[in-house]
Amino acid sequence: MRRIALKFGLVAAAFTGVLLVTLGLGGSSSARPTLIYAGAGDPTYLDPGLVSDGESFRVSEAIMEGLVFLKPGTTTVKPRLATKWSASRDGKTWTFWLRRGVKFHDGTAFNSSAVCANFNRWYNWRGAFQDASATYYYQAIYGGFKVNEVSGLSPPLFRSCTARGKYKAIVKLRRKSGTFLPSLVISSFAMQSPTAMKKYGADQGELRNGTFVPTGSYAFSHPTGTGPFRFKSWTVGQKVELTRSGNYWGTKAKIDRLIIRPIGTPTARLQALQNGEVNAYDLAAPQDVATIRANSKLKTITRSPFNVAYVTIHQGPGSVMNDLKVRQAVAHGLNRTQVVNQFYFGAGKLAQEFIPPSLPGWSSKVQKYAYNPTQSKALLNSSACKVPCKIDFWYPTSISRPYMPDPARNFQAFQASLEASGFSVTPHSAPWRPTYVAKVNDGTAGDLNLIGWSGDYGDPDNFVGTFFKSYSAQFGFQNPAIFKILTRAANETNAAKRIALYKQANEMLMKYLPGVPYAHSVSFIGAEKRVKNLIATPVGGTWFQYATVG
Amino acid sequence: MSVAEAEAREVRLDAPSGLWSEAWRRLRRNPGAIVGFVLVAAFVTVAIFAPLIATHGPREQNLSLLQGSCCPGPSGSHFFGVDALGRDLFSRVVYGARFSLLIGVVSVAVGLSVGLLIGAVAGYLGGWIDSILMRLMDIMLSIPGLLLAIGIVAALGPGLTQIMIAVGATQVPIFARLLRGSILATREADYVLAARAVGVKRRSILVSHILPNSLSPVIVQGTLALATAIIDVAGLGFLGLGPQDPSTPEWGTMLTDTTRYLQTAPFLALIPGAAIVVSVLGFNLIGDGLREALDPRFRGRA
Repeated sequence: MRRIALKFGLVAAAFTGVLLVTLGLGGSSSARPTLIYAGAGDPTYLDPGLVSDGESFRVSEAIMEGLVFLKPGTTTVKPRLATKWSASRDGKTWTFWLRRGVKFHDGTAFNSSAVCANFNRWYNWRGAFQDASATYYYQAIYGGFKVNEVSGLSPPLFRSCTARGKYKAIVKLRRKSGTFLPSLVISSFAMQSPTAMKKYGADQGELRNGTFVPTGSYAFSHPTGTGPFRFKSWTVGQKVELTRSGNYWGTKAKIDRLIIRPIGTPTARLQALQNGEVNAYDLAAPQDVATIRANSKLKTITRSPFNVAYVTIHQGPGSVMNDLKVRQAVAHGLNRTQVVNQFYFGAGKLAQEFIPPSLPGWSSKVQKYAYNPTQSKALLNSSACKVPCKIDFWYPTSISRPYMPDPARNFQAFQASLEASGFSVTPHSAPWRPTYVAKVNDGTAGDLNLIGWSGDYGDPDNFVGTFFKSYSAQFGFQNPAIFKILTRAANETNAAKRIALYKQANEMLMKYLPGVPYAHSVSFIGAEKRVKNLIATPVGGTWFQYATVG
Repeated sequence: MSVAEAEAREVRLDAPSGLWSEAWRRLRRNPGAIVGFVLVAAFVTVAIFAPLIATHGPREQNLSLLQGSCCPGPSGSHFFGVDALGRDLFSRVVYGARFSLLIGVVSVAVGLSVGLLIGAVAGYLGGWIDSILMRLMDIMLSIPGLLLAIGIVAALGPGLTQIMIAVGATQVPIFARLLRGSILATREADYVLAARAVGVKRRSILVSHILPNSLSPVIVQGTLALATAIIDVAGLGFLGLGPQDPSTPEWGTMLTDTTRYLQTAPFLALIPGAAIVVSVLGFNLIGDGLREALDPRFRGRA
C-alpha cells in the first residue's frame, strides 16, 4: 500500500513538474512570461474586507486597489484611486476626488457611487460579519457598525458617504481622526466592484465553530477590483492564478500570468526555488539567506523593517519595576547590540525606540541605553531592588517571528547579560499560542517578557498608539502625559503637527521606559536573478506590477 | 516453575557458587555486557567528574565567536564546536551527562519503588486487591508511555523535577506487573510453604523469602528502564517540557534548540544525539547481559 502511495506520489510530482514546465513556457500567445511565486499558505478568502492575513492580502493586493496606497517599497501614503483629498477643519469631513476612466475588471465603472457602496458595505455589516474573525481591520480602525450586534463593539467612527457628482465622494466621520486616511492603505479597505459583490453574494456568510465563513462564491471565485491583475482561478492547496489586466489605468503589468503557490515551510520553498519550480518565494528564513546568495542564479530581495522586537517591562502593584531606576538598569543590562548583530543573520537593526526609522515621528533625539553592567548594578543599588535583584522573565516557545527568529536564543543572551548586570533571572516559557500571547496581553507574563509587533499600515499610531495611547495590562504603565500626547496625535489631521507629537511621545517613552525595544528586522524574498523589479513592500506584501522575468 | 526447579535454586543459593556469583561469572564472559559496562562506566565517570573534564562553563556564553551566523564547528579550543550562543558544546555535553544520569536514576527509583510496592502487595495478597491494582496498572499500560508522561507533565507544569516524576510514573505499571508475576511464581514454592508451616509472619515471608527470590527480573528491567528513562526525558525536553531555563545543559533540551540550525550546523544535533545513543546503548547492553546471566534457562550454558 505504501509503495503504491509512493508511486502515485511520484507520478503526481512528475505530472506537476510537467504542468509547471508547460506553464512556464506557456502563454505562447504572448511574449510576456509567467511569474510563479511561492507564499507560505493559501489565502483565507479573496475578499480582503473579510481577512487579516498576509497570505490573502498578497493576492488581493494584486487584484484590487484602495483610494490611497503606500508607494511600493516605502511607507509613504500616495494617491491611487483617489487623486487627491482634503479634510475639513474639524477633521470629520473628508472629500476624495476620484481617478477618472477607471473600470473594475467586470466592466463596472469606478466612480463615487462605487466608493460609497464599499464604505456603506463595511458600515452595514451585520450578524456573522461582525465577528472579529471576519472584520478584524474594520473593527480596529472604525470600531463598530451601524447596528452593533456583538457585545464589546465600540461606537462607529464612520457616519456617512455621499456621492457628489461622478468623481467626488464625501465621507463623514463621527469623530476627528488622524488615522482614518493612512489606514485606507490597508488591503481590507480596497475598492471592490459593487456589481460583482452583489451578483456573487459577497455579503453572505455565517459562523462555523466560531469562525467566519463566506457562503457566497465571491470570496472564492469572483474577486473583482481595478488592479493590474485580474483573478483567473484558485485551486485550494495548489495555486492562485491571476492574469494581466489589459485595460489597467496605470502602468500595465509586464507579465502575462502570475501564479501564487502555497508552500508551507521555508525549507520547502527554498528547495522549490533551487529546483526551478518557482521564480521567487516569500519569507526566506534568515539563516538560508547565505545559501541563496551563494547560488549564482539566485538573489535575495530585502523587505525594509516595519516591525519592532522589544522587552516588555511590566509594572503593577508591588512590582520592583515601578522604580524608574530598576527599569533603567534593565535597559543598560540588556546586551542588545550583540543580540542584534549575532542572531539576525544580518537582517536586524538595533532599535532605539518603538517605531521603525522609516515612519514619520521617529526621533533621533531619544535617550539611548548602551549595555553597561557596572551602571546597571549602580542603579540597582541606589534603588529599592538591591543586587541581586530577583525578576521573572518570560519567553515564547515554538514560534519564529521576523523580528524574533529564535526567541529562546534572544532570551538566553539577555538572561546572561542581565545576570552580569546584577539581576537574578527566573526563566519561564510557554507556547506562543494559545498561552504566551494571552499571558503577555493580560500582564501575567512576569516582570519582563519578549514580544514584538509587525506594522499593518504606514502610521506611527499603528505602533506607539497601539501600545501606549492608554493604560494596558501588558505594560501596567501609567503616564497620563504620554497617553494624552498620543491621543492628540491620533486625532490630529495636520501632518506636521502629528509628526511633532509622535517625536515628543517617542522621546518621553524612552525616558520613562515602559519597555526596551531592541530590534527592527528585515525579511527576505528569495528570487531568481532573472526576476527583476519585484518589490517587497515593508508592510509585508509583494508588488508584482512592475516585475519582469528575463 | 516446578517444585524441582525451585529446589534446585534453593540449593544453589546456599552453594559456594551462588546465583549472583555465577551470574557475575557469566556476565564477564559476555562481550556485549563488557562493552555496556565500559560505556556506562565512562558515562558515570564523565557525569561525576564533569567540572574536571569540561574545558568551559556549561552556561558560559561568548557571542563574539558567532560572527553573525550559526555556528563555528569543532576547533582546538572547542572540541565539539560552539552552540547558537557561543557556548562550548563539549562542556555542555559533559555536564549534560550529569543531568541524564540524575534524571535516569531518580525516575527509575520513582518507578521502581512505587511499582515494587504495588506489585508486592498485589502478588502476595492476591484476591480482589490484586484484581483492582492490576486493572489500574492495565489502564496505565494501555496509554503509550511517552503520551502518559506528556499528560502528567501537562498537569504538573514543565520542569526537570516534573519530568522525572512523569517518566517514573510511566515505569510504575511495568515494575508492578513484573514483580507480581514473579511473586506469584515464588509464592507457592516449597520453601515459602515451609516458612508458612512453621508460622513465620506474612510480612517477613514476603520481605525475606519471596521478594529476594523474585527480584532478578526486576533488576534486569531496572537497567533497561534507565535507558528508556534517559530517552523519554530527552524526548520530553525536546518537546519543550523540560527545564524552564533553556540554558540548562540537558541533552534533550540541547537538541530542541538546534532544529533551526540543522542546515548550517548539523553537529549541534548530532553530538548530543550521539551522547544519548551511547549512554542508552550502554544500559541496554548491560540489561541484556544481566537478563541472560540471571535467567535460569541459560544457566550452565555459558
